[in-house]
Amino acid sequence: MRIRLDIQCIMLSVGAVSKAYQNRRVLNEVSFAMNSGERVALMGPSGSGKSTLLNCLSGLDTADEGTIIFDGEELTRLSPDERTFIRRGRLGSIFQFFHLLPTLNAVENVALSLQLNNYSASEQAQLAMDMLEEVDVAHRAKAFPREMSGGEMQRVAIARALVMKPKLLLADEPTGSLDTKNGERVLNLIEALSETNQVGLILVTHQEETTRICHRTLHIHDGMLSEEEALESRA
Amino acid sequence: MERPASPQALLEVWLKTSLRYWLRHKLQSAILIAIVALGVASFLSIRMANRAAVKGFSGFTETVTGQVDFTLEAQGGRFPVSWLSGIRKSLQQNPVELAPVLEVLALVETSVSKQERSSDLLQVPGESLRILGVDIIGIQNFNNQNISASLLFSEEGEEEPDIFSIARDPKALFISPRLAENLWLSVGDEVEVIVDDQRFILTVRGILPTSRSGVEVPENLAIMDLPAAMALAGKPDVVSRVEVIVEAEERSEAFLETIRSSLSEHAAGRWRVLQTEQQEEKGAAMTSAFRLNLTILSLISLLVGLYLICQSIDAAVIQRRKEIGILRALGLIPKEIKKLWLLDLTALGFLGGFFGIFIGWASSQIVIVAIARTVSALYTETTAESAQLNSIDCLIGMGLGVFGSLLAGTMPLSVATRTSPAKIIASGRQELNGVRYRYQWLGGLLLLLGCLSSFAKPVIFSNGQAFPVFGYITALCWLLGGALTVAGLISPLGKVLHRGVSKHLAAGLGIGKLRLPGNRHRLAVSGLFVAIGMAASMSILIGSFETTITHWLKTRFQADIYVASRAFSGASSQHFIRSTTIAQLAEEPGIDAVSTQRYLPIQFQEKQVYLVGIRTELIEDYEKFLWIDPLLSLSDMPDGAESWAIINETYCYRFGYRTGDVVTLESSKGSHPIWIRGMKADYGNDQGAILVDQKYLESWYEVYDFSNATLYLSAGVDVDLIVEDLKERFPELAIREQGALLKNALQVFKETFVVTYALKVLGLFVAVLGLALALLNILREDVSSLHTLRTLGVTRAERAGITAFEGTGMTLIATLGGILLSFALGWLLVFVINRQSFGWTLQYAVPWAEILSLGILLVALGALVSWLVGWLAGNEKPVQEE
Repeated sequence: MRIRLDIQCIMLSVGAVSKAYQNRRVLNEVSFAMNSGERVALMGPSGSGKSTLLNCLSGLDTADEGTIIFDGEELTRLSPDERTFIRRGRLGSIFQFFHLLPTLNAVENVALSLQLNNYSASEQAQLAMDMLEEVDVAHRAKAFPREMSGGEMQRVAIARALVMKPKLLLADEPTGSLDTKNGERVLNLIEALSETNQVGLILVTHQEETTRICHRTLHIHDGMLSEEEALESRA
Repeated sequence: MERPASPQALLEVWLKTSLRYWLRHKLQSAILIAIVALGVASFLSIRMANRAAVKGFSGFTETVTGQVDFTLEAQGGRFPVSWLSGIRKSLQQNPVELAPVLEVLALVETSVSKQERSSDLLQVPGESLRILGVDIIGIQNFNNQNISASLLFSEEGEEEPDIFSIARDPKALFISPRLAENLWLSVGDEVEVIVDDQRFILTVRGILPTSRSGVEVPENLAIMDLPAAMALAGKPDVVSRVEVIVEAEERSEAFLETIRSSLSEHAAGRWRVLQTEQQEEKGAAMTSAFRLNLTILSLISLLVGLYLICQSIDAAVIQRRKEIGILRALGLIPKEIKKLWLLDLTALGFLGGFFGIFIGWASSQIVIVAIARTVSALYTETTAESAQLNSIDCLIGMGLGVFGSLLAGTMPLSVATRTSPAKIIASGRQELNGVRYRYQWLGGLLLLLGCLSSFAKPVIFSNGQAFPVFGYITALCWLLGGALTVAGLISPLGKVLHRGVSKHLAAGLGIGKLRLPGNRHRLAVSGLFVAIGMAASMSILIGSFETTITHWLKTRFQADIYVASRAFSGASSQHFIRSTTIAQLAEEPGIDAVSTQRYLPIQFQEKQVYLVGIRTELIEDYEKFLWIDPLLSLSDMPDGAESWAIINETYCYRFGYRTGDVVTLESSKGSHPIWIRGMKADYGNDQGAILVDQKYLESWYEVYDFSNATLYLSAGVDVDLIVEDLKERFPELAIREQGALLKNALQVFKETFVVTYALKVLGLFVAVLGLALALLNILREDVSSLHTLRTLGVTRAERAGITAFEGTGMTLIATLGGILLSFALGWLLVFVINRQSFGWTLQYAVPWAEILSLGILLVALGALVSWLVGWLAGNEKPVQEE
């Protein structure tokens, strides 16, 4: 399945982004763009710069050169706090190791994003529970991470990432720590929620079969997007 | 087949991993070594200072004649010279030498160097000198190889001066090389000294050898010829003791026993025959309880050090957990990983111990001043000014460093090696939070055991001093039990606190973490709990002391003017006021009455107590006491009692005698039954005191001088004018008006607690540092949570706030628990430990303002430190980032 980029609908535009650590170039003039609601897979071997690119996109890290325009704002020109505020409401993240806060139970983990955005306590409770129901772990709302299985933890992490209805979801190997069955369930869930809520997705993965839920795939090697994909993106 | 790695292989791995790690992280290595060094230093400094303070009075006797077999001491410390001929006769022709020694304490006022004579006098305030009056010519003629013929002159080949001419010089003084160096003195220079209330100018006629019989000559030791020393002390016919030396060839056990029996038989109660060891042990035994207290304090400081080492090593293990995981993945078994770390810990302990020895030695030079002052005030005059380092200290320092590091590293290391390597490599962290806590029952049991132990009686030493061993066991049980209990309360209290703050982002997240505390939370809260519990209980003890003593001092010090020798330092002081001076004071216009006190250390039931001579006719009208038992009517005095006395509380506690009982004192004049007519509170000494009229000291012990005097002025006389006048007329006396003395007494009281204050500050500092380290470790351990928070859009300031609330919650729980504990510990210190150690009744007083401010300060400090940790560590990146 392929979709064409519509200049009116571009949600994320990455232009010639470069990044180096200790004289080693991790990203080398990476450029691509994606539409609202588009799902893009990012594949590449270890050390190719996937996570660095993801960190730059989420504003956790800054690019040395190039521009990243997300939802009409140029991230590269924003202060760390301004980038943080963007992450609060418009970006969601899912990780391979779930990264639920161990001292918060499931519903509290989900409600955290709402709390950061100053929702009232009753709204937090209601929306967090609704979201847990959507990902089918409402029955584990009071459980702490150490009491949950990997699949449950990842579903709670998805709920947390989507509870604010972000425009873009960044998923770093979301099925990497799960068995095949749970991995499949999580992927289907991400696809369904992305479709329903019109949330864009950048899915970092090693597994070819995981890319099935994405509209297109970008390959990254030694910090460079492969020429074929890069050309397509520019088009 | 697999087999364990060889020691060489492990050593190579260690050199390539651990050693390189420490060399690359120089600052971290230096901090860790410094922490171990501080732990070792705090223990060693108190140990060295303690030993030096005691040696100040017990060690110098060894240097008088080199080797002494027996020492003869009379009751009351006055040995008449007239007894010597009788002793000589009783010993017949046995090869035994007698060396009478008179100890004179002097205060160096000024020294006048030959070169400086034309210029101003060199001011040397406060140098005290122990002058030993010995028969110089007699000793030089001793037919005994054990006594160095060169008692006074050490330099080989040095021309021996004319001993006879020196002996005839009543001003001739021989001083130690160190004193000569410190005061820039050489032979021929003059020194101005104060003895009792008289001023003298002496001439340095020689410098003593640097050491005798392998013992360094103390700086404050000086020697004079016996008649000159007698003139100086105003005691023409008494000495302090007689040293008995048996010739080397005859020194068999049987012969020594014959001599000892002969001396004892001839004594007929007039003197005691002490063997050398007894003489040396006398001073040490007198202060055994005090020194044991100090040892306990130094052990507490060591525990504090161990706590810090444990936290620091935990931090190091966390930082290198990934390396541990990789080594395990490469095939090293947990036992081998432990061996690698044991090498680390040993090296760390060795280096920390090495530096700790030097830091300990340096800080002991400061601590000794405070300890020596306490020993002088409470026990016996000591002039120790510096602490010496010996090989045993070095061994202990090294041992403590290594043992402490190994002990402290056990917990974090065992946790690290137990975790699966895959988990460590994958996430770099362990699931430590929410581990079920199982020790509340042990905490409760220890608290209960402590309660039972508090009822037990103290252990009594051979010298009669009581040591409240069960009191200390109670304290330990309560500290440990309380720490275990409070650790178990973090979770429920965290839940309660969380309910109140859950709506606030930082507070909710920070306090929320306490609902599922890990072992690091528990260790840090326990450390803080113990520190604040001990600090606040010390405040209660000191507050109780202060309240009681201020009341006592205000009752006791109601005279207008107080007079003592300028060198007077307490009941044990050997600086007196002569009777002629008292007579002169009584003649002064405007003085209504003169009351005097004379402290005389005597042996009572083989233990030292103070017999205090007072003017009994002045009691009630002039002399005020704080009575425990008011005076009984004289008509109740039983027949057969020679006189009546007042005892202090400590005496009652040590010997079990109460008001109305009759006790018998021994002197060279015979037995003296005395009736106890009343009991007073007395916080001036912990040996016990019996107060009798001064006339009995004169008739029983031939003591005619005074320790101090109090002057009561006639109505309408200007105190300041009289004080100024007396100061001018009696420059050798310390003359203070009531207010100044009260201030001075309270100052001395506060200085007595200087070591306690220092330990209190050290304990709190370490506890807060422990909190910071624990939080840092918690953050580093769970760095992925930090990363998650960043990803979710939590700012750096908010992340620091979360850590601040976490730390504040921990400090709050520890502080509330610690203050509760301090009330119990304060009760224990006041009513059990103090009572059993000193026999003093204190009023339990809680210094609320101090404790409240201490609590607020600690919570504020905890919040600040936690915020700083959160701010600094809040930007750490997760380990799995590419």
